[in-house]
Amino acid sequence: MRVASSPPVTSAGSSPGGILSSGWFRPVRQYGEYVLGGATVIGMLVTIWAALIYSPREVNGDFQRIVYVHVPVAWVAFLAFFVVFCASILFLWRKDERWDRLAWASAEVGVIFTTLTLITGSLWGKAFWGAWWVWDARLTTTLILWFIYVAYLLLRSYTGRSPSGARAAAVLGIIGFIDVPIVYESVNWWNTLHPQQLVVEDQLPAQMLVALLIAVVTFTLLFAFLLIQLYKLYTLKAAAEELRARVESE
Amino acid sequence: MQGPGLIFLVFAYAIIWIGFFVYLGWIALRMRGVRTELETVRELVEERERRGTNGGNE
Repeated sequence: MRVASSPPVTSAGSSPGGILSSGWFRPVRQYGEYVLGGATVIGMLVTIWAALIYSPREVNGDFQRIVYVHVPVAWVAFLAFFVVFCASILFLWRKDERWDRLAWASAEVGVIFTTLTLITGSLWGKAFWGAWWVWDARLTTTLILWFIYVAYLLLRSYTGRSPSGARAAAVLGIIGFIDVPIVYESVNWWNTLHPQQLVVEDQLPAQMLVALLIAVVTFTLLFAFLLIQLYKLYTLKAAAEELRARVESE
Repeated sequence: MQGPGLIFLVFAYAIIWIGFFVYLGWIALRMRGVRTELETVRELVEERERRGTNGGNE
């Protein structure tokens, strides 16, 4: 539909999707989404195989295989909030609404992935510690991270696409990101029950590392796919709101 | 696969994948809603344009 198309790109590459909006990159944008979706589905199947069959059984039991989904979803949550952080800075700097839409879309995906991180972590905790939740530094800082970005989404839903709302959300998106390195370093800064970063410390057996990397790549592809879908949704929403406002004001 | 914690493994994988498919479905529903809204606005614009043209001819 013609009215649904995104606003014209002012300078290629200066905005999300800017480069892909023009010239011979158009087919990449058109078919790239299908390729990305297909790669994600294949990646999901390979991840299930690698996590449940390929990786060796741990001494503690099969529930340890939760790690192959828990770690990747946590990684993607961090990535999503990093995108919110970068896009919020660019929005405040360039005053381009497309960066705001990207930050909004990424925050939504980030909250979904953080929720899944907390749920899968809780299941692992119940199996290993015998408790659904402990007020451990890693868990608590992750819960705070979840609250920060839920607040971001609530702020967006209350203020909509108003300039002041977008600015306030961008500031929250930037300040909120401070919690991400705190979550990451919490296992080093405080005495915690949560396991240390075995991948970083090079203590993980090769087969487990391969399975984990496959899962990380797959969930990153899934994140990219979801982000594109949500960005398109917010772009269409903005176009609809603008058109309706224009029609009603005439 | 075996072990006392197997049920937690099954729950974790089920929640992850069912969760994503439900979320994708929700995005698709929202997308459909916005497209319907756009279609409504487009009809409104066409209606006004038609009225404007008819008004000009009279």
